[in-house]
Parts: sequence; C-alpha cells; structure tokens
Amino acid sequence: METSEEEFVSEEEADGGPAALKSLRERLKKAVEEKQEYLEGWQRSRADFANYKREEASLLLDKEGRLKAELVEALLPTLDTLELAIRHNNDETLRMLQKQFDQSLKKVGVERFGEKGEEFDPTKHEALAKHSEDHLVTDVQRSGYKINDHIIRPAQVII
Amino acid sequence: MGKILGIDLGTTNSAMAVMRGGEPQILETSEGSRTMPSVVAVGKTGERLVGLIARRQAVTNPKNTVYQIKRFIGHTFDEEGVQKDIKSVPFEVRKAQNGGIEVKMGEAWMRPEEVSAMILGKLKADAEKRLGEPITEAVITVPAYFNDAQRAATRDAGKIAGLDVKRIINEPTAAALAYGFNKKKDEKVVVFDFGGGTFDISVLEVVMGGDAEGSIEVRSTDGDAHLGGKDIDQKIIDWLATEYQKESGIDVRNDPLARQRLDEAAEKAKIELSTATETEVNIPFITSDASGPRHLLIKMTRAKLEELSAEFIDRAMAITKRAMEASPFKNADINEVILVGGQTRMPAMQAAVEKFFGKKPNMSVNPDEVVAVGAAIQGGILGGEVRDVLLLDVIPLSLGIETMGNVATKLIERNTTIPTSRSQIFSTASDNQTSVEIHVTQGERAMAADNKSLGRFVLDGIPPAPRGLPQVEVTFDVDANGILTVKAKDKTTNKEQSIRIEGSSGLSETDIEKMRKDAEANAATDKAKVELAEARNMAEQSVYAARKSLVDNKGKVPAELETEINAKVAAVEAKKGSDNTAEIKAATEDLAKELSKMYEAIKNAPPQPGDQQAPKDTRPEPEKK
Repeated sequence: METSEEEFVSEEEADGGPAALKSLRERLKKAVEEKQEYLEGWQRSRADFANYKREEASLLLDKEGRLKAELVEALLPTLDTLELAIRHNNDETLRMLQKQFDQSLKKVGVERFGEKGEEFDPTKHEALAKHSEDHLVTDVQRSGYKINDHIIRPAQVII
Repeated sequence: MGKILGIDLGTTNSAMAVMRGGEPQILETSEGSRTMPSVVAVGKTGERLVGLIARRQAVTNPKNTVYQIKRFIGHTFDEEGVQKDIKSVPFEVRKAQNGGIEVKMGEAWMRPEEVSAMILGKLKADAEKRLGEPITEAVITVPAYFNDAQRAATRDAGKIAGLDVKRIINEPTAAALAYGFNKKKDEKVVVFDFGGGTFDISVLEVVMGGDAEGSIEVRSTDGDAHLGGKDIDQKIIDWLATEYQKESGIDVRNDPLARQRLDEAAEKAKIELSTATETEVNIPFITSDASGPRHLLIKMTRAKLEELSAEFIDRAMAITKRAMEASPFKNADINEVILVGGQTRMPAMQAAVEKFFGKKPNMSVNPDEVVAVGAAIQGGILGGEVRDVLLLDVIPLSLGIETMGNVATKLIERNTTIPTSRSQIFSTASDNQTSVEIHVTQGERAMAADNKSLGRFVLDGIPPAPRGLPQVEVTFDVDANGILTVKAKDKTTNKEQSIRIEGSSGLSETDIEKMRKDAEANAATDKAKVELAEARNMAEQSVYAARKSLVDNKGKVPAELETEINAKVAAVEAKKGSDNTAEIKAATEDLAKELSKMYEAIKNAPPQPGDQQAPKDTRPEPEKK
C-alpha cells in the first residue's frame, strides 16, 4: 500500500517550529521502531519458510523409508507367527518360507536381526526377562526389524 | 532470539512442541516418536539412557532404571504418599540430608530434579537436532495441584538441563491454551485428563483483562495419582488370561513373552473397540504343552471392555463431581469440556463425561499432545511470536479467467493465504488475433458463465501471428487487504494492461457458502461441460492443423488422401457444434488418423522447390508454463 507524504507531515509541521520538530522526531522514532518490528517479523517468516522447505525436502526423502516401515509394521504379526511356528515345529517348508520373506524384505532394504549370544544393546534389543548376569542375549523371542538405521521394532530378547 | 520449547513433562510419558510459522508443532524424538517414556537409567557401563532405550532395558537393570520420578519431585521423604510410592518402585530411594528424596542410579544418589533434568536434557537435545538450532528456553507444564516446592523443583530440573524456564504452567491451562480458549470472555472450561497412570480434573475460568487475551484461572482441581489407563490395561490382560486359562487350563501370566504379547493384544483390542463393537484377540503360539503349540483366540465385545473399565470410569466421575462441587459453578455453567490423555479415546469414557456435563466433550486436538502444544503456545506468547503473528487471511473463492470454450481457468485456488501472486502464460485462439479479452471470474464452477464476473479488460496491440504463438502473461496479485490486481502483458511487445478489483472479497459468508455448495452440487454437470468445451477446442485445433498442413504442403499429399482429409474435416466441422462430446471426440480422432497418414506421406515425398516451413507451434490457449 502506498501512503503519501502528506499523511505524515501536515502543513504546519512542514513550516517548522521546535514543537513541530519534536513531534516529527517522535513519529520518526515510532516509525523506525515499527519498521524494525515488521522487518523482524518478516525475517522470521522468511526463516520459518526456509526451514520448513528444508524439512519438507528431508521428509520427502524420509517418506519412502517411513512407508516401508509402516508396511513392515503391518506385516509384523504374520512374520512373528511364522517365526513362532518355526520355533514350535522346525519344519523345512516354514524355514523356506521365512527365507523367502527375509530375501524379499532385504530387497527393499528391510533387515531382520537379533541373534543368540549378541551383547545386549537397548538401542536394538528390548529385554523381556533376565535369567543371568552376563549381559548377553540368551534367547531371541521375537526378531527385530530395521530399515537402514531405523529400528522398526527392537528384537525382543531374554538375557 | 531462539525458539521456546514447550514441554509436557509427564509421569509416564513426555512430549515437546514449538511454534513454527505461527503454528504449534510437535517435535519427534530422535527415535522418531511423538512422545517419549519418562524413564531414565544408568547402563552397565555407566552410560546414561533416557526414554525408549531406558525402558527397553528396564527388566535387565531394575535397580538402576528410574521411572515415575514425577511422583517424588518436590516432596519430602517422610510424606505418607511418598512412603506408599516407594514400596511400588524397584529402585532404591532414601532420605536426603535436607529431608528430601534421593534415588540411586548406578553408584550415585540423585535428587528427583536431576533425574527429571535427564529427561528434559534428552528432549532439548532431540529438539535441537530436529530444528538445527540451539534451544535455551522452555515452558514446562505441571499438574494444577503442584505446590510451590514441586514447581520450584521442576524449574530447577530445567536449569540443570541447561534450560532457562520462562514459565511453569498448569497442564489444564496449557490444554485450554491449545484450544485457544484464552481468547473467550468468561469461558468456563473443564479439563478431564485421564493419563496412563494419573487422573486429573480441573475447572478453569477465563478472566479477561484489558488485552485480547485473558488469563486462565484454576477454580478447582482434584484427581487420583494412582488411577489411569494402565489399570484398564491390567484388567483386560487379567480377563484374557483368565478366559484362556478356563479354556486351556494354562496360566500364561508368568511367561514373559506371553505376557508381552498379551499386553500388546490388550492395547490393540482397546484401540479397535473404540471404533468397532467387537474384536477378535488372536495370539497364535501363545504357549505350548505336551499336545503341542497352543493358540489364544478370544472374542471381545465393546460391552465387555466397558464392563471391565466401569469401576475406573466411575471413580473418575466421582472425583469429577467432587471437583465441580468445589468450584463456584454448576455443571450447566460449563462451556467446554476438554479431554486430555490417550485413554479418553474410549467411547465409554466420553459417554460418561457427556452424560455428566450434558455436552459433548472436545478432543479435536490430539489428547496425547494437547498439553505440549499448549506449552508451545505459551512459549510463543512469551517470545512475542504469537502476538506478532499477523492474522493472515485466505481468499474464500477461487479467482481465474475465462479461456477458450468459456472454461474458467483458475489462477488462485480458494483458501490460498494472502498476500499472494500467481502468473500463467496464455495465448491466442485464432490466427492474427491482435487483442485478447481478459475476463476475471470468481468461484468454483468449471464454466466461466456460472461464476461471478469481477471485471474484464482488453489487451490489444499484439503483433499478428499464427494462433498459439503470442505469449500473454496474466498475473493475479491479491494484497493483504484482499484487493485483486490483474495484469496482462504481451511478452513480445511488453505492452500491458491491468485492472484493479476492490470488491473481490465483498461477498457475505452466505454468498460464499452458496457458491461453494453450487459448485459441489454441479460438479458432475460442470465436468461434462468442460469436457465438451475441451473436445470442441481439440476439434477446432485439428481442423486448423489439417487445413494449414494441406495448404503448406500442396502437391506433396496424394489427391485421394487430400479428399479423404477434407471429408473428415467436414465431418468434424459438422459435429463440432453438437453437444455430444463422444461424437466430437470420435470425429476428431478419425481426422487425426488421416492426418498422421498425411504427415507420413509428406515425410516420404521428394523435396520440392519453394518448400514452406511448417508452423512451429499450433497449440491453442491456454498454454501452461
């Protein structure tokens, strides 16, 4: 919006006089303050937008991983049941099926993990019970799944 | 100045949020979750673990894993409640020299403030990682019943974590802020907070000062520090285990994996029964006996869940009644009831609240996040961000221009935040057209005639050229006051014309609503009209291209093909005016087939003297950038 000079400076003020000068100074001060406030608000908005854009871009990159993680999460009950079925009945067909699942998941970057004998690490293991003091995984009750470095679910283990 | 982090420092879980672009936003932890368990541990090698990771190792390290520290903060050791709570935790608690409390972690004895500081420190670090800037200031929430000592201790926890705590605010106040109730005069709000392990009820009143924002005052507060969602979960787990035992004779409660799976199944059933009236709890291979593996398969109805949770809901409602009696208000005085805590998603709980207050409770802000969101808003107010945020308006209806075939082409979609500006390149519809008329329309309908006409102007002086070649840039600019300026510029000559429309937002709410409804109601017929217009445009374009090519390539096209093309052109011309989109399209496609034969023939024809160059671009308007 344009504002003409007349709106700020009246005829009398333009003619001079110390009182007029004082009032002009005050108005100038206020204008400068306002300018600063608006500038800061504008800069803040610009910065927020720049940050937002950067974050959106990284989210977009992340999106694929998130989608895959979501899909694996939805599949977890099935994968867990398969694993339990193998525990209860070490059947050749079931093991083949698990192998196929593992290979397919690996193709999209998802990895099953958690092995007996590993050192317990809470960044990837969730302890269900402790039976010994040596801080090693003695049994993997349910495998963990991860995509790149993101843990979809920690391996649920007994120590 | 950096951002002020809003922190909901909870007994079971914590969450954080900041203001970004004037809106509160929950920040995820480095593990990618929107809330974090309020658990802290010292690992085997002396490392500090906080949040999800601390919880995962809890059973291996119970003596050095501290949770629910909020129950101890700001208390003295000898208090009755403290003595009771000490009995239920696995970590060691002792009386400090000043009569306060200390908990043992690893080799060290720590004050509750220090433990809370570890939680805050992790939130701070994760927020810094998310935002890419240092965080030094925070607003932390506490229950309304916290006394001065508890508030001071919470503030100290912030200080230890390296945070300048700008303000400690009440959790219910934060929830009310998240709903923007601080702007409503004399609003009376009840905050019903049923968390994982605690239940709090608060009655608030908004008192307006001279400002546009009032202060939120707590009129009464009550609660039960040992009533929460985990009681309901436990009840479901017990019921499932008992049912299973009846059927199989096996008690699975002592098997850690079975227990874990029951926990998950109970949680899942509870969530499913929020929407469905019946669910099937299905845990294959829950255990095994001599006969082989055994599975758990139990049907659970919503009625069953309600029966199991009834005692806890009744307790919460009795406390609610007490809180109302302690407040100066009657139930009917209450304007809003806000639900906080994930457990309030249970339909039975919402129904109980609704019955008690005679109005539907509000949970439009995520009940797990609402307190952190409110804390962030408080932070925004303190940091000047909220006050300074300009009220940005949106345009209520789309703005566009009429293009070939009377189609309304939108340049600015409705609900676009203003001020804003958009440009698009258009072209001419016929050869040697020297002027274009810009007809500005407003509305959601597909055909220009059905929308509101805002104005029109003509841009002339376009140098004669084949259709589609001139480039006319149309720019829509809406300023902060909603004033629309439309400018059209010929890119070749830089000649431009513009129009300024002040009344573009002068429609009443009713008008706008009517226009939107009309658009919805007519969506199907409008679509058909646009298709017809597009088919006609396409037909015209094909006829134009055919005629032009025949002229430009005289002698190269076999006579019989030329006759055939002329016949097809005539067919298209005959259909063009009809309302039958399919017939127009079919005729155009027939013509297109003949045209491709012609192009084939031209390509294979021997070059002739005086060959003319084919037009580079025969596209009609609109030509999108």
